[in-house]
Amino acid sequence: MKQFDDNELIDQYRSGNSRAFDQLYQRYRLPVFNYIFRQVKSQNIADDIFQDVWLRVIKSIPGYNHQGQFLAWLFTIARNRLTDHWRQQKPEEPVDIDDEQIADSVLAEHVQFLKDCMERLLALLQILKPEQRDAFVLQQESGLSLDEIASISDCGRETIKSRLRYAMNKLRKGLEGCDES
Amino acid sequence: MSHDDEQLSRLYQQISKAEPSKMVEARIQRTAKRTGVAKRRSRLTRLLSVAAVLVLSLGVVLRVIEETPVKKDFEEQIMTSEPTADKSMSVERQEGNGLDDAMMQSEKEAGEGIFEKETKASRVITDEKSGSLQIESLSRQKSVQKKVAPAAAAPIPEPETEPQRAADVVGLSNNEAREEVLSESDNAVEADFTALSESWCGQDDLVGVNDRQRWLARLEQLKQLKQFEQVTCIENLLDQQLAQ
Repeated sequence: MKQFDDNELIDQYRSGNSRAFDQLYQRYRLPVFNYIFRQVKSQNIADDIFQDVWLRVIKSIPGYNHQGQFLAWLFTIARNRLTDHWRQQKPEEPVDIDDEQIADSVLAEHVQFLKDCMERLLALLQILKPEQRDAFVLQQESGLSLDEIASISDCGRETIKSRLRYAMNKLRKGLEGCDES
Repeated sequence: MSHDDEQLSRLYQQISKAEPSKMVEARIQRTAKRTGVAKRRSRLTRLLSVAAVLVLSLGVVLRVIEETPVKKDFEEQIMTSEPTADKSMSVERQEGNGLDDAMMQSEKEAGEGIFEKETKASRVITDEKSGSLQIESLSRQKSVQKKVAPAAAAPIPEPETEPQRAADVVGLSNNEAREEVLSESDNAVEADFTALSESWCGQDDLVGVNDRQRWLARLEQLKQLKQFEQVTCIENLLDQQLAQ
């Protein structure tokens, strides 16, 4: 089966070929869902947001232009929907803990429960600042460049770079000892 | 990206991926399919509507093309008939002028030969023009007749005296004719007397009798018989007759 790029699939879907949309959906369903799920921490909420994101995509495809990358456009929609979600929710209290506190608290509270480094990583993600977590997960799930992430996040490239650096440092410190694994 | 960053990224990618619920996925795919079909249908509808418009336009154009020669023929007929009509109209006008001249002349010559000219003119129109024009010519002819009739009916501008008229008619001399006229005027008195004698004053045997002498004789008889009402009636009758 020939692999079409995103824009070709969009054109085909706009021409009435619903299978083209299936291909597009299968290509990006997990990255989008995990980007949402890693931040809201709830399957139901993630499902709702995920569904809303794709319905917005379906609705907006007729007006979509090929100038930008579809993936960046898709994650922009997802991030905007997440922002709406955070606005509706009581804002999450940022956990402002210094590196030693992170390590201590995480290890103290979860060490006996964390079976491996991946679970520790997931736990560490939840105690990152939302914008740092958003930048990190977006980069990991989408594979987009710093410029594209900056564009999606509606901020400068250096801001994103800074957020990512902070997130990496915190995670790395929380994952000390996992290097060997 | 540093080595540590790569290790962290690799570790993240090893985390088992969460998946959306099947129900949500089915709903998304169903919506996408329905929207795509609707788009295809709307596109098909648009194509069909465009095709329908084209077919209708073509039909209209063909109809116009079919009708155009007929119109052309009709126009050509009109164009070819118009000069004839103009000619006939000019003939009519000329004849009309001729009629006017003839009418002028008829006032002097008692309108001789006008109706012949008019008939000739109307015949030309009848031969060369349509029915409506025939009607026009007929109405024109009637109006001309109306105009001409007084001219034809007025050949007696000066009233003749009765003896002259009788002399002209019969060919008698003036004296003989005068006597004839006088006898005619007596007859006219008798006629008037008869007209006045409506009741006949109860004289049934004299009904319709215009002889004055007989009435006078009857009057004398009635006086002798002292029939005064009838006498008065007859006298009034005779007075009225004399007054007339």
